[in-house]
Amino acid sequence: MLREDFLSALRKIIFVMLSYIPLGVACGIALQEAGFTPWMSMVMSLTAYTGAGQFAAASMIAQGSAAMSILITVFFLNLRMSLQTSSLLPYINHRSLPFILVFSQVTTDESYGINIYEFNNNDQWNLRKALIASILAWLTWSSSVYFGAYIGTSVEIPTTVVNYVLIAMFISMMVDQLVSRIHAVVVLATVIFTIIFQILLQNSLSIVLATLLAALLGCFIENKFPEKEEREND
Amino acid sequence: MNRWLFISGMFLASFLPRTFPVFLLKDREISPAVQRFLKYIPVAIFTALVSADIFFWEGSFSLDWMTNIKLLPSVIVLFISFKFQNLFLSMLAGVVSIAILSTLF
Repeated sequence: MLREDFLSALRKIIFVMLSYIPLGVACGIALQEAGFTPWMSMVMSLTAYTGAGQFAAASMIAQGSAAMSILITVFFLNLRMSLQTSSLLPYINHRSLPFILVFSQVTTDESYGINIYEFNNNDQWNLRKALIASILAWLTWSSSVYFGAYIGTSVEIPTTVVNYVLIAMFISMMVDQLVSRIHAVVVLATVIFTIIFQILLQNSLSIVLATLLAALLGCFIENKFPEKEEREND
Repeated sequence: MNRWLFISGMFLASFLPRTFPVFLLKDREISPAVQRFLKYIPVAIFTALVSADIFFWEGSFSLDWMTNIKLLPSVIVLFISFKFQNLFLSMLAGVVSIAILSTLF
């Protein structure tokens, strides 16, 4: 029944929703400082739905980066969603294309995490619950961002601090991703590459180049030394 | 910058990665080589975004922790992230440390 599915989905996604509220408000404030109105920020959240990407965009706009540069960075930030969607495909492939597209649109790190866990461990979990859970998170995020952008005008936070929210988030997400020794090597390589490219290029292309190079390095090392994979936990 | 145009770009930069597996894959899988590559993208891009920011102060490379007040909070956030694995806590620690430092230096 719809009501039971809704309550079941809500139970699973509520902590994600609660964590999205302060995050979304902070993002809304950052977007407002980057020149987006509350309405613009909400539309961005509904259509792009990427916390990391939206924060990055706000920060890079404030630093004067070129739009194309920012969009390319956001694209690479979002590439991890290809892995997420493709690992969810077995569960949704039998549905219509519109359904699959909508389902993909409302999938992001946290709702993905919940759904993939439930699909694997809970045989009461079904597509309707998965979709409801994702939509709830999506709406919570978008409204929080709207609210943040709305109060942004009356809140005076120094730019250094607002920009740093993003950095702190990325450091935390980076640590989350450190699941093997090769990942650690990639991190070290990325730091070096980024610093070098940033000094040479003085623009945000350094981020994309360093990322590509370091990921290639990781790929290469894994290929050459497969026994270093032993600590991976996916 | 035309912000609505930018927002459309943000949509594409998000929708395309999300949906291209749907169109490309159907019943096939992403090739192992591409999977290997994609696996390291998240950690690399997060690190790159952080590095491009925290090691630079007012345009130049700076490891001076008293001028570049992004360095010390980053060490703190790194530590908190490893210890507690909690996104919100890490962000809170980071913001609090940099707020304190910005009033001190």
